[in-house]
Parts: sequence; C-alpha cells; structure tokens
Amino acid sequence: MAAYKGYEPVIGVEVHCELKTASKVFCGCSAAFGNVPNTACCPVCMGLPGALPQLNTEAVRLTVQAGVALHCDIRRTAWFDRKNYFYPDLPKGYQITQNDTPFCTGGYVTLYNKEKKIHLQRIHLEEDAGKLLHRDGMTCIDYNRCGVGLIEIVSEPELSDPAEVREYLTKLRQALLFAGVSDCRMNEGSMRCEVNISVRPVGSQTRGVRCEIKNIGSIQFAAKAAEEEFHRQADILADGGVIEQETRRFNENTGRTETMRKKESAVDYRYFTEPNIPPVHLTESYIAEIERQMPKNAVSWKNSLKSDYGLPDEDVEQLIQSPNIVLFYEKAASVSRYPKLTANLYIGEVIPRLAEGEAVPMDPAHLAEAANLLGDGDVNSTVAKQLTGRALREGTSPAAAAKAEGLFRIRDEAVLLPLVKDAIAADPRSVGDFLKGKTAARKRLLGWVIRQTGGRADAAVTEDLLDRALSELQQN
Amino acid sequence: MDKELTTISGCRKALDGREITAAELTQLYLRRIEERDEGIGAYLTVCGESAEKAAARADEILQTGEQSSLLGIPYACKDNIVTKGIRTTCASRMLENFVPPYDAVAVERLSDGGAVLLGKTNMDEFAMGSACENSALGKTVHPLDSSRSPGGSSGGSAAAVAAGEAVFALGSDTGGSARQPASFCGLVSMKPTYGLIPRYGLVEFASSMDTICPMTRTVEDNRMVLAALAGADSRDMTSVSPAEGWSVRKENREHCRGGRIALAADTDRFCDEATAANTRRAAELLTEMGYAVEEVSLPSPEHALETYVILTAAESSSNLARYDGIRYGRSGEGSSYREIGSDARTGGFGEEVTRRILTGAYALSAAHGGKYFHKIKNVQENIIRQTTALLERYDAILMPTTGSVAFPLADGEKTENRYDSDRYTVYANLTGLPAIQIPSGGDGMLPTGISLLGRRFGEGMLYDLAEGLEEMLADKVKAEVKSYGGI
Repeated sequence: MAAYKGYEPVIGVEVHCELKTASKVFCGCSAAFGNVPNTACCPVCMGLPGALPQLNTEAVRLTVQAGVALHCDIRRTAWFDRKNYFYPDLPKGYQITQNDTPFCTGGYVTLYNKEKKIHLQRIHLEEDAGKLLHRDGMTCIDYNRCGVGLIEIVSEPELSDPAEVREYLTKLRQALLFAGVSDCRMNEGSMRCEVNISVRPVGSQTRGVRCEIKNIGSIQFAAKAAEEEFHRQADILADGGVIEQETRRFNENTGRTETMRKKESAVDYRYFTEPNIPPVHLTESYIAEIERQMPKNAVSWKNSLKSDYGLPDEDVEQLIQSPNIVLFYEKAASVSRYPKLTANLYIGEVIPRLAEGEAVPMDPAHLAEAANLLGDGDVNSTVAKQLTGRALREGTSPAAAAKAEGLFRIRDEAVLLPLVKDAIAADPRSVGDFLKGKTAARKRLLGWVIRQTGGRADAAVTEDLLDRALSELQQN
Repeated sequence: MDKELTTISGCRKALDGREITAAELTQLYLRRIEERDEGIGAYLTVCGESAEKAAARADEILQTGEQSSLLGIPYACKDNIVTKGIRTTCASRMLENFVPPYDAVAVERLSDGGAVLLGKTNMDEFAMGSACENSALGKTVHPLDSSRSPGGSSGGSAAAVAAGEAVFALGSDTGGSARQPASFCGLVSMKPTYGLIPRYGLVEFASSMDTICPMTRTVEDNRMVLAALAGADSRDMTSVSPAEGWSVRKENREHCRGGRIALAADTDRFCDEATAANTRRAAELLTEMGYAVEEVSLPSPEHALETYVILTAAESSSNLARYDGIRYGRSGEGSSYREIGSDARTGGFGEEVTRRILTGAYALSAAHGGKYFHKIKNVQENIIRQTTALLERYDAILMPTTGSVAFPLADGEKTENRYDSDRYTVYANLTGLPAIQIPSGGDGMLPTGISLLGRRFGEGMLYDLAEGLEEMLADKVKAEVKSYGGI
C-alpha cells in the first residue's frame, strides 16, 4: 500500500476493449483498424434517418467469453439502453450501451504474487464512437470506428497502490487476450483505460472526492497517472485545500494530469431502454457451450509449461504474456530437444523485440534449431543468440547459417592446440603467474584462445588442452 | 377517370385483362396529380420519371403473364419513409434536401412486387401532428373541402388516395397518424401488429410505437398491400413474422357464431353527435351480423393519452438527436459544435417538433430520477395488460377512430390541443395491437370513421369484420358523404 504525506489512494479502473469481431456491433461494416477514413460506414453506423441497429451475436458471445474468463456472473436476460449526449463523433446523438443490465457482473482479477483479488462491478457491451482529428484549425471526423463493439470493464475501487494499477491492467489484458476477446492494443486504441482516484488519510475508511483520469495511452502511463494524481490530491489536502470533483487527462509529455472538465458541466445522459433491440435471452446451454469452448487460459498455460517443460516461474510469466507468445513457444519447444534453452533464447532475443499484439514474425522451427545447436554444443551461447536474432530479422535458418559461415564451435584439437601454444607464447607473464600458483592467470590464457576464434573455441576442449600444456611446462 | 381504376382490384382487372398498360395507368395518375394537386397539396415530391420507368418494367413483366397483386399499381409514399435517390424530407426544413442512399424495407417490398411509386406525400413535420399543418414544406387541404384539414400526420397520403392521385398510399402511425387522416378522408387504414411491417427506413418518431400502414379505398385493397408488406426482415430486430397460418386473405369464416364485440363506452362524451351515432350504428350492424355487442370502458381512459404523449416525446427527443447538421441535412453556422448544432436544430425544427423534443428531454432527465418515464412505462404495462384481458373476452373492440369529421384548417391561428383527437387511436400503439379504420358514414357530407382493435396478429379477423361492415355500410356512406370528382 502506498502512503504519501499521510494519505493513501483509493483507485478504481475502467477499461474499454474493442471486441475482435470482423464486423461492427450493430451493422455489417468492417471493424478493422486502419481503413481509409470514412470507408467502413453505412446508414446504420452513420445514424441516417430510418436506419436501425442489428445486433451482432458474435459480439454478445465475446462479451460472455470475457465474463467467463474473469469469473463473472452472466445475466440470462439483458437489454440495451441509450445514453444520450451530443458530440460530433456520435452520429445518432446517443450511444447504445447497457446501463441497467450488463451482460456480466461480479468477477475478479487476481494480482501477481499476492492473494489480492480486484473485484469487478460489471462488464457491458456498447458501441464505440468515431474519431476526431484536429488539423490546421479544422476538425475532421472519421466515422470508421463508430459502432465497433466495445466492452467496458469496471473494477471496484479496490486498488490501493499505483503499482497495483499496472498489475491489474497487465493481468486483465492477459485474461482478455487468452480468452480471444480483444487484441488489447493500447497503441491502436483497442484497449483504453480510465483511472478513478480519491485519497484518504492512511487507515481511514472514508471516501474522498473522486477524480477521473482519461486519455491514458499505455499500462505504464496508467500507473504513472495514478501516482501523479494520488500525489496531486495528497499535496492539496496536506496544504489544507479541497479536491474538486473533475475529469482530468494524463499528459504524456509532462507526465502530469490536467483538468478536462469540472463537475458543473457533468452531462445528464437521459438513459432509457433502446426500443430498437429486443431483450437478449441467454440460455443455460448457450453459456455452458461458451464455457466448454473457452480457449486455454493463462493459468492452464502456466501449469502445462511447468509440467511439460519444467520451466521455472520467471520464464513462465514471460511466456504467458499473450496467446501469440505462448503458442509460438509451444510450437518451437515441441520440436526442440532443449525446451529450457528454447525459452532462454526466446525470452532473451525474441520477445523484447515484438511489437504489441503482433504475431511472432518468425518460424518456430528456427528457434528450436538455434536451441538445439546450443544444447548439442555445436555453437556457443553468443552465436546461438546471434543466430536467433538473425532468424527473427532475416528469416534465416540458424543451422544453415552456422554451416555456411562456419560458426560451429571448434572442438578439433588439431585446430585448437596451435592456438593454445600461441597463447602461451604470447603471454609469458600470465604463464609465469600461473606457475607461481596464481590460478586466475589460467583464465586469461583461456580467454585469449576463445577470443582468437571469435568465441567459437569449445571451452572444455580448450581448457583441457591448456591444462595439459601448462602441466607440461610445470613438469619442465 | 374511370371509377374502376381507383382501386387496386379494379386496376388489377384492367391490367391483367390488357385493357390498359401499366405505363398508361401511371400516365393517368401523373396527369391527375398535375391537374389536381396544386389545389390539394398532397405531394411534396412527384417522381414522374422513375414512375414511368417502373411502369415500363411492370409492363414487361405483365407481358410474361406473371401474376402479382401490386404489379403496375401506382402508389404514394409518406415522406418519412426513405426512398433511394428520391428526396425524403419528413416535411422538415432539417431534411429539405436530404436524398437517402437506401430504400426502406417497405418500399423495397413494394418495388419488388412491381408497384409504381408516384411520389412522396406531405405530412406533419416528423409525423408530429394531426392536421398536416405542422409541415414546413407545404399545405395540404381536404379534397372534399379545401377549408378543412385532411388529418395528420399522414394527411398527404390520405388526400392523395381520396383525390384519386394514387391508388393506395403508405402512411405511418405512431398514435393514429394513419387512421385519423383515413377517417377524415373516408379511407381504410390498417395499423398492423407492431413489428409486422419492418420499420427499417421509416424515419423514427417514437421507435416503440411507429408503424407503417397501408392506406386504401377498400378493405380488399388493404389486404393486398399488407400481404405484400408483412413479415420479418433482419434489418429490423423488432420485426416479427406471424405464426404459420397467418393470412389476410378473405376467409369467409363464420365469425358471427358466438362472436363477441366490445363497444367503447362514453363515446358521447368525447365525440360529436354524428360520429357517436355512426359508431352505434356500426355496433347495431354487428349485432345484426350475429355478434354479441357489449359496452365496456376502455382501460385507463384518463391516462392513455398522457402516457402516449410522454412516451413518444421521450423517444423522439432521443431519435431526433441525430439531426445536428454535421453529416446530412440542414447545416448550421457557428464556430463550435455546440453553436453549429444549435443553429441547425433551431432553424431546422418547427415549433411542435421543438416542443416535443424539449418535453421528452425533460421527461428523461436524471434530475427527477426517472419519475416520469419509469412511472409512465408502468402505466403502459397496465394498459397492455387490461387491453389484452379485454381481448380475451371479446374478438375486437369497436370505437370511433376520432371524435369528429375533418376539422377546419387553423391557417396559422392558435388551435386547441389537438392531441385529443388521438384519444382512441393511441390504444393500438400503446399495446402494439392491430386496429383498422373504415368509414362509418358521414356528417355534413364529410366522412366519419370507426376502428376495430384486435388481437396480436389478428389482422385477418379484423379485415373480415371490417369487410362485413364495409358492405353493410356502403349505402349509408354513399348517401352521407360527398363524392370527390366523380370517383
């Protein structure tokens, strides 16, 4: 728990995720990211007179899948509501959402290394709005995103430390990725979050005045924004001031939060039931079928990685960041004789270079090859890392590259012995030190040989040759 | 004009018997519009060119000998039902130049059936009104008396059919907007079960009650139009297909045996003398047909109208929020979204539309915690329950459609609250049940109307009952109502 100037934060998080459906939630338009502006629109999502919403049942299924993945209760009868407000990116003048009857309630996210669970209030299905682009003093509107299916996941205000915001979002994102619900790409806006914070004296059970922070672009920034806002509020209170209820935004450049709007201009959303969509009834068998068909979740992956490949916890956590990452590992490990080495090369050389949410742009067999070369002793670890990196960047086969470029480890005594002799001849001082009993000097000689071979000299064979040569010198 | 060529069935015979081509029939109607409509104002847009093309296509199909009930029949469409490439204004400055890129499902179905669209008819702006006087784009008068209103909001559609400027028309009905003008103009109009005709392409007023309605001269014609329009479409999630066996065809069934009809009580209180008398006369005829007719009080008579007013205002405040002048429709001036939107809306909406939007926004406001809207939803539930219960005991409920014959045009003068003319019609909308209006006689040579409210998907029975009454009332109507231009 974080404390600052005698205050502690009470934090809740709202997350919006775009659902991974091919089409939008109330019409047949493409829901893909990156289309030419205003080309994925139709009378329905543009709010033309007379056009009516048609509910995409796949969006309902994914919402339920999210609920199942996060241990929620699934509502059997739910309907939609209209949230009325005027904004240029909202063609109908209202958003179709679920106010009274979210598909999912309850549920929780478990934080790392702790028994702490963050409970969820609700997950509901709604439509996204368009995008405003401000340029050259003009405002352009791209309606492509209008009507893309979104789920809003609202946590209880149970987070008590900015670090927990990062953990919560990481675990939530992981669960949604494994459930196949959303791409959760924060850089493309398919996952967005808002953080609500109030502060109170440490140990108190009161609730302070709450501020809402929008416009947060990454999980790291969410934690940063929570911390900044916590400190801002604590500073104000410590100075005897009062917190005003307001909506703030996080400025990534300054790392500070700033005012968007005060409570006075809060909107009256005039909610009422959407008359164009009849209530949705989910049967027991429908929900049971979704539960049965749920993709393998992170916890199951964790267990199987440990039991099938004997990987340690630190490795497993790295591998279960996303389904793409773990599926790739599993493919590579299944054709590798050295799963641990496969994990090492993958975690060290591949995962850090992946773009958010991308499929791993590499042949898993190549990763396995590199691990096998390393495990069999054919190449040393430096070479194995280089070969893995090249396989990722250039698509080259590590085995073929090693062969073509002569990168294999040198174990031939006929090659190594002259080098050992050269080392002894080149560094009489180290030899002298060694003969005086300074064993560390032996390492310098060994290092010289390995450097001469660009790291390819087999350490064991070289050591053996060196020891023999040195003992000969000793005897003489 | 040949009297035979004023009904669908008459035109059908002439077309199928090769007495006339679809092109000739369309020409006849286009000429008629040109001659007459200046004095009536039924149409906002006449689409002669596309009508001629549609008629030519119909003739080609007729040549093949294919039979289809609406093939080659010219019709008019209320201007709140969107038509691809033909401007659809809702009689509002807001949409004065709006040309939709798509057809409403109803229009699509009529086109598929070979019907010929003549043009778009005047109405109260966004269907809000009951005299056609809230149109921002034109004035429509009653074909039989130019000092009177054709009714509303589907006044243009009613006037077009009554004046022989269309064989039939599409109207829409959210609280009586098709049945009341049909009553004023002596026509038949069925407000079908909610969802029976898909709404996709009907510009929203109050989504939970909006219904497209066929407006025709005869019950027989009305059956044919509804048959072409009925059935679910995936583009409207609230649309429904009736169960197997549902039909609007004439069944010749023996309704009279043991049949029971409820007659709305207190008609004298809310109707003028002739209207009440004509309603009673219809009840007597039903008795003669063998029905047991009993007077009943309509459910929550003191609240039904208010419930309708608040619910529709609330929904309309949301439905009309899309008109901000950004993507289509009247543009606004200003330097911020707020200014641009306010300017577009202030100049784009008329007084009645503005009043309902404000009333509705107030009713929905969180400031009074749903006190109005949620309470009124409960009242609606009660009305649905009570009406359904009544219809378990009775086959149908007979009532006047509206309290009087066509009222005089206000011509800009302040009128009394005309919501009152919706007193009877709102039941069908509040409950989603079907109701049919037919002429019941006349008063001062203008038509009066009665309505029969029936069970969910009970259109077939309502048509049969209405056709029986139509036949027995034919002479009375003929004697008491002036005929228009020899039709």
